[in-house]
Amino acid sequence: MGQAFRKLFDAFFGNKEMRVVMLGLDAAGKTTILYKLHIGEVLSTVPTIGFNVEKVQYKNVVFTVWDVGGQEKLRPLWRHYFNNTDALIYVVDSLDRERIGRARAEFQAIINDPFMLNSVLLVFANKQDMRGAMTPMEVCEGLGLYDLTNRIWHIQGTCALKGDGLYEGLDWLATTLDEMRASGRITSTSSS
Amino acid sequence: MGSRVKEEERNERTIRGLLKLPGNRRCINCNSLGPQYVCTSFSTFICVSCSGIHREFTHRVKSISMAKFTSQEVSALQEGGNERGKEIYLKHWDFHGQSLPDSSDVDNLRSFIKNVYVDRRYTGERIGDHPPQVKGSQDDSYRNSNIDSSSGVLRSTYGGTSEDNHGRQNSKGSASEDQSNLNMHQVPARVDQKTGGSSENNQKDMIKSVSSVVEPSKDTNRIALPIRLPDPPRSHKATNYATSAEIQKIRPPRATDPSSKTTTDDKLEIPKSLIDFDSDLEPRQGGAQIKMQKSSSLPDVGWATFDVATPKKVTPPSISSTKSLEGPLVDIPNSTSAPQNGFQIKQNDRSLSFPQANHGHQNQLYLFPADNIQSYNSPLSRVNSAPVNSQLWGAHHMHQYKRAMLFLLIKSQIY
Repeated sequence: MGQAFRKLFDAFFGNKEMRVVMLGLDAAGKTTILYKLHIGEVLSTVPTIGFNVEKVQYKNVVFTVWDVGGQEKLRPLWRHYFNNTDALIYVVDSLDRERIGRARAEFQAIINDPFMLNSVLLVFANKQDMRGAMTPMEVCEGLGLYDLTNRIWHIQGTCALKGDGLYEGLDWLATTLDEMRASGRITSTSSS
Repeated sequence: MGSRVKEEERNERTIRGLLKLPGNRRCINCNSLGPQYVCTSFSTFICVSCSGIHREFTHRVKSISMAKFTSQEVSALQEGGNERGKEIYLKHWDFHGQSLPDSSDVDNLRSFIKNVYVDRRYTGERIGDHPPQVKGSQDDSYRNSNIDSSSGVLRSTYGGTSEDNHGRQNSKGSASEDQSNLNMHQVPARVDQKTGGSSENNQKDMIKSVSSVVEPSKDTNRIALPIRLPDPPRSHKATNYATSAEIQKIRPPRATDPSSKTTTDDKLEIPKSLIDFDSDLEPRQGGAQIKMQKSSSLPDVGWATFDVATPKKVTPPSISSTKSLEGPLVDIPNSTSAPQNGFQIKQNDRSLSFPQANHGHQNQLYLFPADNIQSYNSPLSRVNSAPVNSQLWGAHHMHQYKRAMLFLLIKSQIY
């Protein structure tokens, strides 16, 4: 009975949970973003082999963020993180014009995966502090976001070192998740 | 497909073979045994700690096990490698007198890598020659912020594009321009009215202006920059806030184009309640703010000459030149808008970073009170657009409150 009350209570005031997978090519800044969000500090990171996972609370939403290494041979493993995922955070190195095509290919592969068809898409155009970086609009075109139909997406210019834009992105995620759950739409797809 | 796989295998085998060469057995930077990464920017073999630090300088690193190598990279490694790397980058390094940094000492490693590969102190070249791989340098003004699927129109990107496009206009003009952009992203209809249809052109120009901008600051890099800078004289938050508020109140409501006129009107609204500002005066935020101001005064170094060209005299020279880095002078709209002083311009620089004020960005709040009010009024603003801090604070207390309530509830169930 108490449990039932708790559930009811949580439904109104409680923390919502959201499972987020953060992907992107290597050296895009995924791990830096994760720890900037988690502890508010810029850590000195090394290339991720495997994954990092942290819970990040923003407003009343607890985001479980999976940050998966982005090197070539790790990319085929990404799909193992897709199950039950509400949102994708795709991090792009805005300075890396050479590999934006590669970033696009990987992005399209992710979002067309059967498990990711319902998830919302947040793109971080990272490293906006660097001179010569692509604008979020250029990244948007580079990834082919405009051509997406029936997807909920958002692109946000960020600077992980300063933390600029990160919470704006989470804010969008939280709001969108709220709206979608309110309207009864499912964001995650599970295999079971 | 099959041939590509074969090529990759062959490449990896070649690299593993190269690792066995005596020079490549140890990391070129910290001398630790068995490097597992390659810095393709310099064709050197490095350890995992050094790979992390090289990335900070935008050098490209690849894991030998987890990355795939192209044939060009392999042949570059065959020609390069640590022996060759030492001949080039550590030519004037005294291996007997000076010791290489330890891999556990990250700070020392960072300064070593900066000295060796970014500043090239030991190459024997003239200091100031820089590797082509260092693509970017710090740039404090964001070009724009975000776009999303819900609006077909580019809501807020105009904050950025017009900046790039109009480039090095005088600070006065750009200041009000940016403000109107800030407003525009909240009212899509106005976007069309003002810049409608020109986005394609903007982009073309943008690429040009971006590349022309990269030149003067090539020798800067993202880690070291803030250190080199002189402290700006105006890092005191309280003064800053007070000044901005005053300016916005006294700013005359006269402007040339309709969108900036509405800006001015908005500015005249009553300042927001002090609660939000207070929440922004937390030490952590303050630190960040000061740091950002430091780096945003960066471009002053090379561009002081542009101040002479700007008609505005009240502005301290170090401030107005910030804008002038943005690109070539293409267009000067709003050049007749109201005079402002240095703080106003500074704010606009700051605000450019985040046109989406209605998401409650901390740094912007106290610098830009009027804009915040407006975002609360605007139809597009989100319900939960309070500043981050107060929200987190609120969430925390809410949580405690909830638990207390829950406890009571459960108790009442039991008894």
